[in-house]
Amino acid sequence: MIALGGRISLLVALACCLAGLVAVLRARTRTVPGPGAARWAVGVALAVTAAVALMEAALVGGDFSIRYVASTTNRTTPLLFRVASLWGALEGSLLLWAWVLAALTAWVAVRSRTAAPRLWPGTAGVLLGLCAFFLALLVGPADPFARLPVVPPDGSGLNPLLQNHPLMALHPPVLYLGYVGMAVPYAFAVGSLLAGPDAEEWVAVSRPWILGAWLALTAGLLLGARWSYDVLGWGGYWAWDPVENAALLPWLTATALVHSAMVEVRRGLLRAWTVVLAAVSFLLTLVGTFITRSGVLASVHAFTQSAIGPALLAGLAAATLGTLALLAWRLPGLREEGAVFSVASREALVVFNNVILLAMAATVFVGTVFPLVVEATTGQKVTVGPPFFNTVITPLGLALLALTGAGTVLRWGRSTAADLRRMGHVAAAALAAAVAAAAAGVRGTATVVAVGAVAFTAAAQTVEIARGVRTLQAAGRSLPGALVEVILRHRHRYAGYLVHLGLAVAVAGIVGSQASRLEVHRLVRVGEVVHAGGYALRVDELRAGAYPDRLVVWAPVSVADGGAALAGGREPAPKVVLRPSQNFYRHARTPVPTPAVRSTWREDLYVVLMGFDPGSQTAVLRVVVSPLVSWIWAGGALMIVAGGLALWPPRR
Amino acid sequence: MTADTGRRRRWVVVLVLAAAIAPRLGLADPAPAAERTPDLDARAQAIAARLRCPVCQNESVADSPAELAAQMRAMIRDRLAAGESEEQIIAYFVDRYGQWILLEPPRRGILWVVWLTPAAAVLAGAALAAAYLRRAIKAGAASSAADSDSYPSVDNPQQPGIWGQTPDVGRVWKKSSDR
Amino acid sequence: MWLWAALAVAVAVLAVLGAGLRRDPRRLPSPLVGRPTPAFSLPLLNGGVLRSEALRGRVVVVNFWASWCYPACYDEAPHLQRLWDRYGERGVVVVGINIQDTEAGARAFVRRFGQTFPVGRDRTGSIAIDFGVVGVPETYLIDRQGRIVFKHAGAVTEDLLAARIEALLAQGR
Repeated sequence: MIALGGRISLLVALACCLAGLVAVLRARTRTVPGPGAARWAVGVALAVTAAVALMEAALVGGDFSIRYVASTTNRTTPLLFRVASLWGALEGSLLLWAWVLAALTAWVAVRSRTAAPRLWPGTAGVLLGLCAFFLALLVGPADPFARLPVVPPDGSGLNPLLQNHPLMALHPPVLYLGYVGMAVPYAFAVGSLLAGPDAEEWVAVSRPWILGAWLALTAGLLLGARWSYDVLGWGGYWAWDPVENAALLPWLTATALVHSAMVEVRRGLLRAWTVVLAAVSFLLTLVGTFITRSGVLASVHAFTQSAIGPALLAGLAAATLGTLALLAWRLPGLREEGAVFSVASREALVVFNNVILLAMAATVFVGTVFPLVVEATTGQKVTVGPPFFNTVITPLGLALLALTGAGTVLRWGRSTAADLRRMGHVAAAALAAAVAAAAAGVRGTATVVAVGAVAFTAAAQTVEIARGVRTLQAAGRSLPGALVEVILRHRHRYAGYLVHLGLAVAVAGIVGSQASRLEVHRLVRVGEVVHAGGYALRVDELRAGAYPDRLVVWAPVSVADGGAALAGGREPAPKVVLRPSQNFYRHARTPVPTPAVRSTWREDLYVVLMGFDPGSQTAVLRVVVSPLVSWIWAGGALMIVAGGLALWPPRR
Repeated sequence: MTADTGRRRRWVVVLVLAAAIAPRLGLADPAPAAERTPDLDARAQAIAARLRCPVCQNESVADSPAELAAQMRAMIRDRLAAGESEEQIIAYFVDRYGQWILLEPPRRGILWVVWLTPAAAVLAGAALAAAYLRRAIKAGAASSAADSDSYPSVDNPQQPGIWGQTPDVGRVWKKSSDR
Repeated sequence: MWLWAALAVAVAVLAVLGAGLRRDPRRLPSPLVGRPTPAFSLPLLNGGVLRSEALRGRVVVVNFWASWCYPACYDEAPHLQRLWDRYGERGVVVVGINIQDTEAGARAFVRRFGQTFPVGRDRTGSIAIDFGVVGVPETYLIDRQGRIVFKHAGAVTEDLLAARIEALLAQGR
């Protein structure tokens, strides 16, 4: 019943897409498009919503006659993960993609049909075409409502790693919002190229969408990193895994696009480049979809190999070649570029930042895809893993930070001598910070340089914010009042400063956690005290407990200050008791270790129970001490809040 | 139930469960504690971090919870204790599994392409950017102060759009009263 | 002009991704094919130790398996027993090496399939690592001179190996 209803909803949605495309084609000669295509777009959104609702009903109700439900849930799966199973496997994730796409299409339809009527036909064509493509996949090879010939008594359930953390419910939808959101600026750009000189300015119309998609991608990446950190047990948050890289690539180009769009709108520069960037960002999301779902590259995250790989590749090829053809046809007709008056200007710095961001994207892309190239040409298998990426991305990242700081201090057009002097002061402060770090014992050239770069960026943002605040203070405001007012009055600009500041804090966290990370692997006896990284750890006992879906063995570890334990002779009172555990799920062969973390602003103590033997009362612990990890989450949170601030519509 | 009985009961549960489960784990570290020094552990971890776990999807031998990875870690430690060097141990694994077991691609042959990409990308981008800026600065120098309609000036809020039309720009949000 | 360059890059990338579709990222070629077999001493379930040197002069089928490897190891077990029955007298040895498993599980498996060829347990995994084993089941075919001539990952069938075994037996005559 549900399966039938679901299939019908998807077919109705596909039909609405096609009807909308027909409406667009018929209306293209009119100056003001009728509501036809927009109405069909809303119809698509409603139909896909119905399909999603039916799928959720099947998941929550445990309808094992549907193959997808049987493979992603079982009788013991908790409610939250039943709901989240919608995006737990391939077909469901495509359904989520289609839902977000349909919802965004409907929203764009409602807002832009009247606000940007000449762009609307091309935009609608692109968005409805994309909807049709994904719905065709859902109705054809990747049917989420496919039924099993025999109803099994119980489902098999998802990989246990996907079922032990609440972020499973948040990370994929937010990330998809970012992925799918990149289609909207692309659609507007194509609309503009198709419509020609009579059309509205697509960049101005797209800026909220560009910013929104970028924000969702940033949040999605941060949530993913946090989830990895909490769950995977190796004490890291980014593994340069192909699927992670697939999400990073559009983020890099989207960051470039945010800045390039700003320059295009204010100074009339980078016109063609902004169009190309919007296209590249969108095409990279399609590449990401392909990599994740085709099984072409091995990854912890990848969905199982499936038949839709060739279909996705065909879609990617069509989109790429179509875009290139459109660019070849229309790009030469674009207006000539504006003028730059000095290299020491914000617009020139944006050009440089685009160079670095695209170089990072090219590196990550080549590194990810290279094993395929080598295998296709020589038949050998190679791995391009984290050591490579960490080595090459670090200098590029530091260069990017330096540009961020410089670009904030310089002004549009031509920077004055006062601006350059201010930059000199900020640079001097950064140099002092680097020297202080080196003197304080920080080792490694890269780390010291990183401290300088982070200080440079953070100081630049603070100086600019302080200038604005001081202007208002001169008019008689108090400090906090002035700060709030200046931020709210010039939302966009100050949000930018705060995002850069958040970035600096997050990079400081990344540098700190990589540079002096301490990892210890130890076999310990219950009751024995082990010293690691300034802590004294003692496994108190081995305990077991049974839950409906799994068996858990955990080892409470008392953590005390290592120095006190050594000096005092007597055992000091424990600061905290951590409980790393191993989870034995019914259908999984190997147990899933769940780490226990103690976070402070200074460092994180991360303990994983790797193995245990109750007979000899021993346990194998992995202890990781990484400094400044909390700064990554704090900096990331600041970036997201500030980005949200930029998006918040001003009071009319 | 007294505290003693409760505790004893707990231990029974743990032991029964462990008897069922523990053999499957194949305890991660078969070597007795006395023979291992922290220095050896650190060196073994460093070597394991350079190798890719053969049965996992893109994890290192140091990080993987798989049994094969645990056995490989034990083998690395044993070989280090027996006096082999890091390079010898790495060479052994490459000999048995192939080039792909190294997480970092060696800088040889076709793999040079991947190592040179970042520098090549930055150089190419910088060249393009330099050419673009040179042209744009020349245009800026050529424009006269009075000619502020054909080229956007720094403070002119009315920036013509990509087709030369006059749009509504600068703000992020369009007002619904426009157009 | 830039668009031609972009087109070339796009086509190259699409071609690479397309080529990638046709391979399995999990399949791994073995560098040991064509090289002498690694030496091993295998403690047998029935007692005693089987040394690889003792097998020189005979064709050897080395099969790595585990009792939890369902269904592949279960599917191939009867085939291996049949190979042993057919060729055991003709100078072929089938050796089963149980890895990443428990003794109870291994014995139960052997009992279930009535395996009469030598079976042992690789407790530390050193034999498996020596052979570059990645998963189970994996089967290696070794000729009379002690060289590995064939490796198969996944369940083997009698037919798959029989022709090769015949060829190897015909060789050293």
